[in-house]
Amino acid sequence: MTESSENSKSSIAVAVPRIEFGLVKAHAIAAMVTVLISVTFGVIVSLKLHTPDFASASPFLTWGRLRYNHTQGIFFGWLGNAFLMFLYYAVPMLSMRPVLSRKLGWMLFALWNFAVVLPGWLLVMAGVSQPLEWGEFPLIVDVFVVLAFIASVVQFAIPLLKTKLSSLYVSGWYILGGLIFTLFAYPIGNVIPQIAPGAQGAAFSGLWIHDAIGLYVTPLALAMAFFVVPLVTKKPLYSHFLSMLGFWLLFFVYPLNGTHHYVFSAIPMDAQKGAIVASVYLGMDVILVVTNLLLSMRGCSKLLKEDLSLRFVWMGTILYLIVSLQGSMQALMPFNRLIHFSDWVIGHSHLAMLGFATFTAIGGMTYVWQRVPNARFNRRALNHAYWLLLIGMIMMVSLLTIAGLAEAKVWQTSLPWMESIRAAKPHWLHRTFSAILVIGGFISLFTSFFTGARNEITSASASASSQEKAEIDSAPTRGPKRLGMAYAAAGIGGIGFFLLSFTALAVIPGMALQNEIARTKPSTMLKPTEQEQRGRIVYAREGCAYCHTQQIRTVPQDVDRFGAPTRAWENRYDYPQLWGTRRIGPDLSRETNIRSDDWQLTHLYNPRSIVPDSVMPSFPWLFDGSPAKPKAEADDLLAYIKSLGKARQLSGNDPKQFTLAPNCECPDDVKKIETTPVPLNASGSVRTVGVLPFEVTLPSDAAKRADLQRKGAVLFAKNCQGCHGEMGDGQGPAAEGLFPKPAGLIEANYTTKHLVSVLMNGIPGTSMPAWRDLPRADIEALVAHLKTLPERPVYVTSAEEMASKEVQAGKKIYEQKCVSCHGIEGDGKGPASATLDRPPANFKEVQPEPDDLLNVLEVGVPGTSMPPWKDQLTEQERDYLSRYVQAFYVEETKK
Amino acid sequence: MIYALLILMTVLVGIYVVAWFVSPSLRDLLEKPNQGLLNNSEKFEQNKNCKGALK
Repeated sequence: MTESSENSKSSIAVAVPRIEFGLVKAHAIAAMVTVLISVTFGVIVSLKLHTPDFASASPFLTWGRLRYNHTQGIFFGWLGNAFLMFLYYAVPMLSMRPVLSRKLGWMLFALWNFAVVLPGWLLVMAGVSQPLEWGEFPLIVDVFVVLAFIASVVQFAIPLLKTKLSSLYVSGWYILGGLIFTLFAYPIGNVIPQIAPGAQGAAFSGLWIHDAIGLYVTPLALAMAFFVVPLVTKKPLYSHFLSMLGFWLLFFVYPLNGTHHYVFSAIPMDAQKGAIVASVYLGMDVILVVTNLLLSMRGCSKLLKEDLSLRFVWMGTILYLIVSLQGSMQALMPFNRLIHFSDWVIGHSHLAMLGFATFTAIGGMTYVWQRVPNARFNRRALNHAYWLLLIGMIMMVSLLTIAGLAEAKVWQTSLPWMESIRAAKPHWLHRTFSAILVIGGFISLFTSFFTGARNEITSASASASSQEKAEIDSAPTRGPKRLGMAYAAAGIGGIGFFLLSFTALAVIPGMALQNEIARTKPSTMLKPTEQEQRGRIVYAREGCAYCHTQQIRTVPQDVDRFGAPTRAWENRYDYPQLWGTRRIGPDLSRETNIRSDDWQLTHLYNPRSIVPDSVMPSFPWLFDGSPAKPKAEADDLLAYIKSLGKARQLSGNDPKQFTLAPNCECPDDVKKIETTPVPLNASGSVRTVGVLPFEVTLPSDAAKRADLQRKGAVLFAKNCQGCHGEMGDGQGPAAEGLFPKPAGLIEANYTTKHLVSVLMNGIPGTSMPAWRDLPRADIEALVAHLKTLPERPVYVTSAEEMASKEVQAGKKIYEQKCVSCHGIEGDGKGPASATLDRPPANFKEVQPEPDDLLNVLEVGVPGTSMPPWKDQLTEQERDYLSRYVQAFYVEETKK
Repeated sequence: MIYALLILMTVLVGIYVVAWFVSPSLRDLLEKPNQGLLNNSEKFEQNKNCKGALK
């Protein structure tokens, strides 16, 4: 399209505006430095997923804090600086006016890097943060972020708004939209969740999670793409009209997407479905935008080889299409229920930020950098950067996607949670290697900017001191004036639309949630204690919510594994909400009463001591050198973890908890969950005294039995040896912090029934959890292995021995001293047993070794009700008693 | 409400698209900034007197 002759007649000569190359350079350097630091954070985070003890002694380098810094560094440090660098070049060219003020520019630079990025990182590492996705920098930093966005709007929007809107090129629109809308959106996602609790806060967080990408990163990256493509190809866009259509659709639809991060949650179903529809709509918009960009590059295949800026933008455009269509697909209910919370989503976000945004940003940056007076530029290094980043990114996204699918597959079964970790671990390892390629790519990018020959552009020729005049339109005609007014009206409409979307997806669902909470909450709901609140702060600052969700969705896979779906009232004291968006560890909504205090503390001190394959970070700084010596913060955290789900448990499974309207258009299984009582806590680790669901008979065939024992040994190493020790002697690495101590499995004979019972039910009052999530075949194999551990064969008391004076004396002592707990039959069912936390030993099913039994009689069992009898019984009496106790055992293996 | 917003948006976009097809003058106006960026860029490049090294 060419300018009309009428318009060219009405143009006047103005000076070519000054470009602030000093600020261009400063932001470019800041982008390069911060991306290298941010990616290093990411590499360590990735490394810690498969080597969790790497750099684990310091709280500053723990997984959660580095994870916060990784994403905030990429958002503010890398992409923020890259966009600002681009704006200092593009805005004067788009508006033919200089940016507002050089002084303001340096203030903005200082604000962005030294009041936001650097203090943000340091504060997060020091434990001052907020657990909100893409909003992890603490509130004090948010104040400076908002100031920086205001400064950005003043600096760049004013020159653009002084331009006739009818003449404003689409990149200018994207810049205006990106800066203005982000200024509105940022406080919504970062401040409101601090005052709107739980599910209501999550509705706002969901908006920001999406707006961070949709209203800031995407518009500014697209501004770069629409800028670079025509300037490198030297031809106009395929259609400016289509680009504007894409622009308005993006700004109308993107804000409506946010709630798709909380599909099947307690947020009203209407808001969820609206967000899903908007997500599909968005996919159509992206097809439009990408088609226009690709058509604008048609016939330029040679240029793609020669011009690396264009090649980066072209790749960014392709990746934009892929990631957006993937995003639309992920929002759909059938797909969302499978992959949500898995590493698939992490792959998706890397495809967006490392793929689309980074490639496009590098295209825009390198285009501008080559026009900075006297700048060095190394094309070869940039070419290396392209290939390293591309290969690294494809590997990373593919591996995360595969890891996500592997996790999702396990989550569909009843296998133990750890199986999903084991399934993902190899992919995490390879993903770290791909991260090395990525970091190599960024080093090459850095090299390309600071090595190579300098260009021949001089500062003098590129400055505003030049008196050369350029012609721009001056006299408005009726048509453009009307169009400008139409654009202005559309702009106001866009802001109105944004506010409406905010109302539709956050305010109205928030009000609906408030009503629902009032309707469904129990009459007395426990408020968190001060200690629990302190523990919550520790939980939030260490990033626990980034691996453990606190929302059980209304889908069978969640309900079957964790229990009843999370209701809105359960999180009504959560400021900000800790729903989480990813599950590396299991959901913790129903954690109350699952594990003993000792188990939790030992697990916090060193997770791998108790769960050998765990990838959870250890928190030794919360203890005084031993899991048995927790500091106040560890006790606080324990109190918080134990409180999760307590209020729901106390409220029972009240039918008013069912929240879906009977006419809800939901999938059938969701409806079923919402209309049928389900167990409040479905964890396979809940300790109960239950009826055995099955009996185990070990095979009599020696070869088959040996196979089973071998399989059992592997399972024992994976699941049991942390507490019970490699040899089964009860001296595992976790034993230090556990009271009572784990059973020494070599020191007693156990009946098969007893072993199955303990594995299926756990032992209340101890750290022994139930293992009901292990398949029956695994239980059988474990039992087969456990039967091989005792060092002494079963001792059978003969009839003569039973009648002997010694055993009869032991019987008398037993009837006087032991029967109230262990029962007359030795079955642990004495009259006092019901009052004890830990059930007394059932000697019909457990036959301790004589030495072990004598030791117990001498010193008791610390952490249980079994007292020492040293002062009340002589050595001889204890010996008689032990002989009698051994006689209770009923050997069933002879059957 | 969200559906009402999406319908409203579709209607607005529909009006925009139809207007573009039926009005050549509107089409010209909408496409005008397309050439503007190239013109501006040309002025900048001339002003810098750059000699190559821009790949």
